[in-house]
Amino acid sequence: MNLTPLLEAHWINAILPELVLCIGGMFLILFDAFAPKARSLTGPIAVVIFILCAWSQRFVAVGTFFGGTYEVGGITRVFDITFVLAGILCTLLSADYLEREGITGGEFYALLMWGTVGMMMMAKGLDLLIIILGLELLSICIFVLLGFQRRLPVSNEASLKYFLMGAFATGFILYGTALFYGATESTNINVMARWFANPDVTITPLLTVAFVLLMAGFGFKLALAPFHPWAPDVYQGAPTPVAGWLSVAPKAATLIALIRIFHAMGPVLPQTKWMTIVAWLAVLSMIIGNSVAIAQRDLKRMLAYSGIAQVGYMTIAMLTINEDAVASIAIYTIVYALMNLGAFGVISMLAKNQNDPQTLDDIAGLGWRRPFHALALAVCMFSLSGLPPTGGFVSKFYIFRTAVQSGHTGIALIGIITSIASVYYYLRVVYYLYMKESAEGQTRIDGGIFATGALAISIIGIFLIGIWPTPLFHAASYAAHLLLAR
Amino acid sequence: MPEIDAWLMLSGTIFTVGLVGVIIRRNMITVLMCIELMLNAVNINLVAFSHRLGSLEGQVFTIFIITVAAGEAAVGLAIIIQLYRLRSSINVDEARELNG
Repeated sequence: MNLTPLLEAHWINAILPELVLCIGGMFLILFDAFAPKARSLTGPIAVVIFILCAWSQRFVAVGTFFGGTYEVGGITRVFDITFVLAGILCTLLSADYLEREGITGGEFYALLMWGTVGMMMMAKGLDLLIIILGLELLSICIFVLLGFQRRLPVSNEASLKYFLMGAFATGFILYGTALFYGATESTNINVMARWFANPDVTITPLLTVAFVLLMAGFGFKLALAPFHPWAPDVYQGAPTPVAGWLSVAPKAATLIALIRIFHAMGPVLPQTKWMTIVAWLAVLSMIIGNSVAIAQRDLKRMLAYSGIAQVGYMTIAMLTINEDAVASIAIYTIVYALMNLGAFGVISMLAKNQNDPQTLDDIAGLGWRRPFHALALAVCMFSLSGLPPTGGFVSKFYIFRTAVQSGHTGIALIGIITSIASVYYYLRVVYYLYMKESAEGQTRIDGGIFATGALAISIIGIFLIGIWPTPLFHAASYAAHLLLAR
Repeated sequence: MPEIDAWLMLSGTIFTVGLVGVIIRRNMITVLMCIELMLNAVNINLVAFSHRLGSLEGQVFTIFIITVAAGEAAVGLAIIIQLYRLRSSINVDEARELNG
């Protein structure tokens, strides 16, 4: 960490989106404290702050800042889109959800914003220290958000389980980082990259241990099999919009951090078995995620297992870091944010006691009672299963094509086969929506204007990317090119 | 034995103690303490490496880890208090409503 010069010119522009979110979060807490009568406004204000954050991207300075520890570039902007998008969708869904659940408070949105800041730090961190600080900022916000319905035993349990797993995983990541620091003599990713690029470098067992620890820790955070068992429990117990957000945004942030680390290790990867470990994690995730999801009747648990499988697909692209791989992961995370938050959004509108599971029976016959919400859920399911003309098809196709081009044909084949199997449980939801009769005393769908708006954004986004993906592809490829050009 | 190896073994031992503790202990407070042990093992490691390499990065890292661990412990304790209010127990196994 070279501390001179401490502050480069335009450093404030480099962290402008983060600053907007930090200050916005503090403002919301103060607003909540001093204007208790206007609490219903906190949701809309939060959306405005997120939009301000997106707008502030226009003024962002590109380059390396804070003594080579913070890099702002094209790819971090693309990932910022994912984070802000997930934040806006989650805020819109929460506005109605919190009101129905009788939770008031600006701190919910403040935590969401600070968590987003953590993710932005993970994406932009060029030093393992920054990545880990971002990860911790994010994790601590998630612990609180998961337990937000603190009178509900399931919410508390979800928070507890994620806390135990998260803190445990952090220990692994930190230990791996410490060992890398000892071997490569720096925590800066660029310095590490130079060390790995040295042709005389020998891979000691210590480094392999460090890599395994790091992968175990990040595997927990990504919910990759065999580190996934927390995911279904946590998603089921969490407030539904938070579960949707948790299933999307932190994974994207972890993936971009891993891309940076893998890219730094690039020169030594051919002479190690490290990528074989990652390949096994991907294969296990796809198989376990897709096969267990078939057996689930609880919608949130089903989406949790589907999420495990989806991360498996994204991990395939990570096996060889090249421009296509980075671009395909960036696009996949954006599409995944749209479709998964859309699906969780419809589930969050099911007006029933949140302590009880939301099962397939709750949505039976929804297609005739609430056509728009049913349509949204159906579109998200089609997109998750990767059927054209949705964004899910385009992004999944791009991931598998990248894998095949990099020579991982076998793994891509497993991905395609398991993804065909996954169509069964995704379309089962559509079957329940339209082919089943709704029973007497059926669960109501309680969607306000904000949540409905979030669903509309999801549907439009999914079809837009599915039908006209070229601009996004160009932007992502160019950003990936800049990232890897160093 | 070189000095650094002794420190690495110490930190490895402490890390393992913490790891095993998290897995086998059922009392939430003990589990929290074991997690702190794991983080402190990392700190020993970092300071030892920092001393050997003659770079300050490891020590800066350590300060940040201590801060992060404090924040994590605060939130963890809050979660445990809520668990106690809901179930009058801080046994991890009490929380088993969610499973498929």
